[in-house]
Amino acid sequence: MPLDRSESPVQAGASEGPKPLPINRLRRVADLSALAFTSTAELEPIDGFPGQERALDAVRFGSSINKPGFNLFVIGSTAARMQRSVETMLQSAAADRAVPPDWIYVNNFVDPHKPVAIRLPAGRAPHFRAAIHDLIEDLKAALPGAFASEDYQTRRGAIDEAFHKKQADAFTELREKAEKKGLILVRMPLGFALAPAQRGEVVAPEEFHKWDEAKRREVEESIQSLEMELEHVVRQLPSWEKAHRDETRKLNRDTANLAVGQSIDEAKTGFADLPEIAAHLEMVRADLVENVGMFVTKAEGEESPAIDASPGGPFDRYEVNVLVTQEGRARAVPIIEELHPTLGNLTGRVEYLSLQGALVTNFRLIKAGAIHRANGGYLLLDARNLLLEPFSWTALKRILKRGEIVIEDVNRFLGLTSTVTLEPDPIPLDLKIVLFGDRLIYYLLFAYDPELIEHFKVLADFEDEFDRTSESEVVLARLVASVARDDALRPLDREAVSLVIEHAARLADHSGKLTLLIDQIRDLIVEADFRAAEASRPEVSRQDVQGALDEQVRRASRLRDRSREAILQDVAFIDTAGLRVGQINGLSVIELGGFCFGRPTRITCRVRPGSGHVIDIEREAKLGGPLHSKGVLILSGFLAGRYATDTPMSLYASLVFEQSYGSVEGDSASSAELYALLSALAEVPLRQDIAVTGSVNQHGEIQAIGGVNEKIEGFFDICRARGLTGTQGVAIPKANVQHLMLRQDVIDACAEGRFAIYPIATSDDGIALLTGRPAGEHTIDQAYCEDTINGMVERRLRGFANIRQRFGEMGSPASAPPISQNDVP
Amino acid sequence: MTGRDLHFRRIVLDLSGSGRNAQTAQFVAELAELLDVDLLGRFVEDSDIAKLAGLPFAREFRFLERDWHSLAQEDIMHASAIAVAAARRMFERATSSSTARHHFQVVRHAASAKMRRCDEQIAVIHPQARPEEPFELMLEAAFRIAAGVLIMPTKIVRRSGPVIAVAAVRDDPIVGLAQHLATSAGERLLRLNWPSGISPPTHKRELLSNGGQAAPRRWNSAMATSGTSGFPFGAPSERIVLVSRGTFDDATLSAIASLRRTPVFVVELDRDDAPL
Repeated sequence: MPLDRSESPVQAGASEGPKPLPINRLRRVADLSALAFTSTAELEPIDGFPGQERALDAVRFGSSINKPGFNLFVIGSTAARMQRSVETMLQSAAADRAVPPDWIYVNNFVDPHKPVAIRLPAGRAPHFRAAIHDLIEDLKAALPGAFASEDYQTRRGAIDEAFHKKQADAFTELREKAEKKGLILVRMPLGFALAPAQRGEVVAPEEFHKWDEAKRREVEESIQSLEMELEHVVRQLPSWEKAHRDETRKLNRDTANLAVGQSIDEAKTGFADLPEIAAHLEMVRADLVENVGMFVTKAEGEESPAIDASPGGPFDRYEVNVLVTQEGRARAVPIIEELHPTLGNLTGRVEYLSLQGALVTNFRLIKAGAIHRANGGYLLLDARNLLLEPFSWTALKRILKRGEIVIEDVNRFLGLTSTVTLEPDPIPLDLKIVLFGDRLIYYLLFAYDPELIEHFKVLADFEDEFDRTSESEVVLARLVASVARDDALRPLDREAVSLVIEHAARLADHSGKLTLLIDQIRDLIVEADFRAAEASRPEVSRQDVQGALDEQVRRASRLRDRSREAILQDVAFIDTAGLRVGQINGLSVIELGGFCFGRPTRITCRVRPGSGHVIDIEREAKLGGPLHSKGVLILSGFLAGRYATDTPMSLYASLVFEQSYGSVEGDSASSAELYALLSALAEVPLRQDIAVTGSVNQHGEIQAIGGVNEKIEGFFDICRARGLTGTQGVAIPKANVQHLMLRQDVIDACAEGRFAIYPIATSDDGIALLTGRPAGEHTIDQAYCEDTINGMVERRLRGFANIRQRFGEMGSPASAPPISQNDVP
Repeated sequence: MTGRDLHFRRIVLDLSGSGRNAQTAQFVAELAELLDVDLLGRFVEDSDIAKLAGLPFAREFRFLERDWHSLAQEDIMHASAIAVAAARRMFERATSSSTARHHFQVVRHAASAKMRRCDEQIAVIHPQARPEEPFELMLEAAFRIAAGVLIMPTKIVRRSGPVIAVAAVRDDPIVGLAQHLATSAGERLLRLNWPSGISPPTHKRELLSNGGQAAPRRWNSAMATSGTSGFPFGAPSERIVLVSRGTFDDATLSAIASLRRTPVFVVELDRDDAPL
């Protein structure tokens, strides 16, 4: 509603001060005249997300553009239902994207610690895994069976027999030669020896020595000759054994090839269109044939000779690890939300098994992360959760930079393990990441991490509110209808909807705006529905909504009530009537756990001659924040600019928030501090029945502040508790009038003339209201009129200057002349 | 031993000869349990070897070093002690989990000396472990001390399977022994009638004469379909074959053990039963 200029406040400078605001400016009621309905059951629920065109356009752009770096960063309040709206948009964008492929990991037979990644068309990975599994199951029976077959055993036996026959023939020939020469081949414990023999027995040494020389020499020569042959035979044994082994190995390979070949070829026919799969199956074939020894020993019922250090059985090396598959997915293109983005959950991990005291792993223990599962689609992450997890943010950036997914082992980062690990093939990245966070996180990241903008170029900033028009009120009414439908609540009647709309403006802290924090609206409606249910009403009424609002406040207001109690019991001094020099009721707002309430605070000021300092005691005590200190320092500028243009500023003033023992921040009380200062200088009392809020600049203009509704209501509650006098009220910046959405009881009191809200545009307006005297204007000689506030202040400050000057000339207080009447105002 | 009186009380494993083999020792221990007989691991210290030390030019060619060593008495005794210790360790390890009554023995006599035959004794030979010794001589020497000889293959490929009894006559007592063994082992008994004097099929001979290069597949399929006149071993994979001596010639016995990689238990008995 536009400002009605006929109702504007009284011009500054008049002794009466500004006039109170009319009632219709204190709260803007809902206007649903354009929409005919009795309850939300008659309203068409709204689809889409009204008021978020800027953000939704950004999401639309970010989700469609297919270039590196154009990931989305969505900021706003969580209550604005950012994620739901983004997900809805992504679902429609996903319809235009191709279905992502499946990915598997298989054993790298050449380098087992570098598993091979193979891409398959969507949905085919489980089939390949099943095919390999069937193949292996077949081979588990076929391979041992092949080596247990009569055919194999016969061939193997023939090879052994041939080998042994070769040995036997060589020794037989040697023995026959020895017999012919009267010698015998003797088997020794560790070898062979040749000796003279008679009747098949070794000749005894004493017998031998009885032989003649010639015969002994002949025997010796024969033995030497045959020893050469014996040595030749024995030296040939290793080469015969090698040949035996080679033949056996060839037989094993040929047998394995026959046993494996048909199964492999059958498996290949199912994946003939995938060259990588065919190549892998050939490697499986080659590895099976090469390592058939494992199955041969098992077939012969013996234990495997070597301890297998890898987890699983011998056939596990041929299995398939399906990392990601699109089979069975509800959506063709994945939209994955990772709620716990640890490094492992995000980028995948390699798991280990403890085997005989050591940690071992293989390609089957590679687990997919959220990035794998979302690859080809969208990954939704909460920025705060991501940043809270060690290594996750940097790992994510590395992956985005590389353009491929690499599994990183956090234990190796930390040096906790030095066990053998895996380096799986990286998988190409085709992913759109959507980060959700509040504005603070985004802007901090932007300031401190230069890589942010490199990877998240699209900002989607969700509004917290939108303009309030009759059309937008209708939209909100339909949103209420949507919420009621979605949560299966009772329909809200027309008056209830109106109150919800007005509350939406209150939540937006502006009578001309409506909040878009739908979750907060939802919470209110849910509670109102509960109250309607308790009262057995078929529809939610205005009474239910108001009751819900009151209960929300009541639940959170324990500390507010204790604070109020302290004031009412005069533990905290707050006057709500009378006049005091250098004292005023300022207003502050306290926010605790999402609940805000206003609280009056006494501000006092003392002045004396000095060197021109306005002392902020809060700042001196290190209880004042920088914004508060800035506000106080502005007062010095104001004073100097108005009253000390031709006179040195010779003021010492001290300002304090009485009985405030916590930190104070913000400059919303600077106008109150100014009024207290002017009152102290002019020695004119201020009204204690009017509380003041507003920031002041160096020109004396009163600037807007926050929490105006809470501040007004905070002072009102104190005054009402003590009994409204009919003169009490609150002076607010004129710029804050548009933010007013006061409680009905405040409005009722104002309507009855028992309370008032005064819009203040300048400090002159304010001081006139609070003192009942005109502020004063410059006369022709640039001085203020003496009976105005400005004139009194000016005269006092000149007096301070004179005092200071005199002390300066004299050098010490003792030699200073007495203060004359002309010095003291 | 007559055909009606097939009763064994002991298996003798020659640990100084071809029997010094862990797989053989384990199998023999198992057989001793099944037959409920004693197991004797015997190491014969050949006194003939000691004679070699006195011969001026005698020396030993050792397998491991592939070199010649002179034969001093101390060396022979030392080598013998090493061999005895190794044989004892192997025997004890192989029989540690056996419930059969077993005993290790060291005897000293000339290898060439004749030992008394005991009809209740089973000898064990492992032809491939002694390639320098002709199989026929090895078998004959074994039958000189025992009525039963167990011919061991290089590698036993089957730990289970039926017990095959090859019967040369209608009431061949080998069948009874095989039945006893099959019952103890919980295996089936398969009886194969093979009238004595019938030669093994030609292609099996070819297999043997050609050093195993003939087509075993043809042979096996022929055997599988040949019925009682054929060699039966295309069908169930046997655990052990029992046969009376004389049913097959010595070469065939060796071939069965080596080609089929299965132990063959040969019993020598008098044949006074009616032919089939």
